[in-house]
Amino acid sequence: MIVQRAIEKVGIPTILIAALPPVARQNGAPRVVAPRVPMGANAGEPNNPAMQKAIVKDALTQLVEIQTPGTIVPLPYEYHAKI
Amino acid sequence: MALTVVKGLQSEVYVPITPEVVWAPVQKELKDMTVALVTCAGVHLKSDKRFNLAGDTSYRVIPGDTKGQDLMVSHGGYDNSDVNKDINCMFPIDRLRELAAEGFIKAVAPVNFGLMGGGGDVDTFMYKTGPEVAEKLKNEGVDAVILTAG
Repeated sequence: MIVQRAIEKVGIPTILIAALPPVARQNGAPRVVAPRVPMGANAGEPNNPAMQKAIVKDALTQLVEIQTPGTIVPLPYEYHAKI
Repeated sequence: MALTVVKGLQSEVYVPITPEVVWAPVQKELKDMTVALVTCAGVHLKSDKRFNLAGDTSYRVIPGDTKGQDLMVSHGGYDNSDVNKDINCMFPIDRLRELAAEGFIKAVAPVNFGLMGGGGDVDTFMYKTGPEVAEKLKNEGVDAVILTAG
């Protein structure tokens, strides 16, 4: 989130794919999408290109859609890591 | 009656402070954007130097034409087993390239960045590493950045 804010400060819009959205909110991330994933698989299940691509595509769509700083948009994808 | 009984007394309960708003407006349509990936998940080229797992404020450059199989992770702060199976679950560079090929975005940026979050000096990230990465992205004409962290 620190790096995201630094990038946003030079005028480049950013979107964060977060596994821990409350942390993103606390640290002032400007735009966030949050699929239901564990830390370490923010962009979706490993070896599931369809889910990963959908998450990246929705992240880009929300980059344009989000109009209010600090907005967190939940994404309808779910992956449980087998630990 | 004065409400202040003891002068200078402070609460022991820390109240979180959310930093000030930062906001760069979107200037282009997605199909005209060059998009970069930046991650704090410790991703770097297999041929590159590993991160110091005890805390590392340096960054690694990842060229836009890099394939997922040429990348690896060194990060001590989360379970690496998923990224070790498929780096795209944290650094979806193959997926972003597919979206560029389909014309959903214009291109994958020539430079993308891997950092190791969850450790290291916060001030260095805030005032040195972060601005350096941002400046490099700007110099390469990047229009938007997707980050994975947290």
